[in-house]
Amino acid sequence: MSGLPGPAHLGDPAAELAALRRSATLVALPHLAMVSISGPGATDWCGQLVPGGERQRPGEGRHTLVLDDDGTVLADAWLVAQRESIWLIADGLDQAELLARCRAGAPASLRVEPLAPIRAAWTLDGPFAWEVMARYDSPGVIGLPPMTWFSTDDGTLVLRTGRTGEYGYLLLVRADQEPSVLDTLTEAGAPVELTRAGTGCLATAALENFAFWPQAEGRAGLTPLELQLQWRLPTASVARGTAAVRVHRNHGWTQRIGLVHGPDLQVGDGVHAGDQPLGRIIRAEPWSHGTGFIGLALLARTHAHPGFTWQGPRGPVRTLSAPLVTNRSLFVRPQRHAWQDQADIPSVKPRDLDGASG
Amino acid sequence: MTSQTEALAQRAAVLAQIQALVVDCLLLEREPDELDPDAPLFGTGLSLDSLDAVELVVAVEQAFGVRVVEDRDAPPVALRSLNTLVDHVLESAS
Repeated sequence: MSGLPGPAHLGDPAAELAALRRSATLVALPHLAMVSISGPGATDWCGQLVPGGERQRPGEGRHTLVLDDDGTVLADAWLVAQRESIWLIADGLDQAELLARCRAGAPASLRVEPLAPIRAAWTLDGPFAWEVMARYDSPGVIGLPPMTWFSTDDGTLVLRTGRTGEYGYLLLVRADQEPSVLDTLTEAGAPVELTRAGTGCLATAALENFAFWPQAEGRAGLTPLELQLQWRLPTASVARGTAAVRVHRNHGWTQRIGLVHGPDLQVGDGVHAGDQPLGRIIRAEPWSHGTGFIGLALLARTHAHPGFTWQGPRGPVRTLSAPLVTNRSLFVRPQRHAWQDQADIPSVKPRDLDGASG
Repeated sequence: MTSQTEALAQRAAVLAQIQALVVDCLLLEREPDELDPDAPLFGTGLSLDSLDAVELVVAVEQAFGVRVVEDRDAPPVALRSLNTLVDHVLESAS
């Protein structure tokens, strides 16, 4: 079994979010489920399991989804293709569920083994996360393109990815090396004020950037059509659940999520245009850079456009285009900058939501 | 309500036009409405590259008669997603 989700914060949620936006954070992800698939036909089998799995080549990663048979999203997922095996990492299913899913109907030639007992998942994120990785491994990592990976000398697999809008790396650490890897990372991160944090800062940053968060909108029983995740589905995918998504598409799906802001939003609130019901709030939290609440609304596609004000039971609900912040990583050039220059680099720039037009 | 209805229709029309433009200009094997309006255009999301960006900027500027990139040293906020491109086109036209 995978572990329980890590804590939302380690004591000071505001300071952890500020560290993520300013420098870098290191967060444990003990709830991730991880499976290794190897043997003849492993790539084809991955294509049956998740969209895009059949396209994996060694050295590549892929951000994908685990879908239920009705096309709804069960988990956020990554594939990591190595020479001898492909790893499937899922956020939204537990270890037993993912393992059962990967083994059900698998060709006898394949080995499908749990990774969770022997690997631990961590994520390193922030505008200077790359500098921590460069100090931890080598300066060469700053050129690592998104969705590629490498292995460090201590056997940690590092995938360049992220859901916060900042530089990000998913670290799959050998469990027997975890204490020493954390010590090394802590030492490497000290010059850039690396902060250990809980998952809450990641969730907030994901919301502000309209990045999918499986423990929030991922629990709403929606398909990639409503979640604006069609880009995760290659056109000709035969993976489980994709046929159902195509059926929904062909019959015309009617709703789509989008970012909203209002003086008071709560999950479940209805959203109306006059007497016409448009949808409901499916996620809400205080806006960390200003007044009111930000969230996600599932609205009729005809009305799910940014720049409009609809009505909720507690006040107006303003639709917004993503993102709600200009991330500091957009101003940081690893080839030109370092932490010692950070005072000259602009901070994260939040949108003025009270005056936002779109 | 009528002005909101008109504004919704205008916004939807510009979005549909930009979705079609992206598919045509970048030769994507996708239906235009498969391009999610808030999905990132670069990095993750549609994973366009810098050459795609140049083609997209030229196509949008020609189609709508607006400048998309004003300051080459500033983050290209308008190119974050299709919706930010629509924001930019509508704001430039108003």
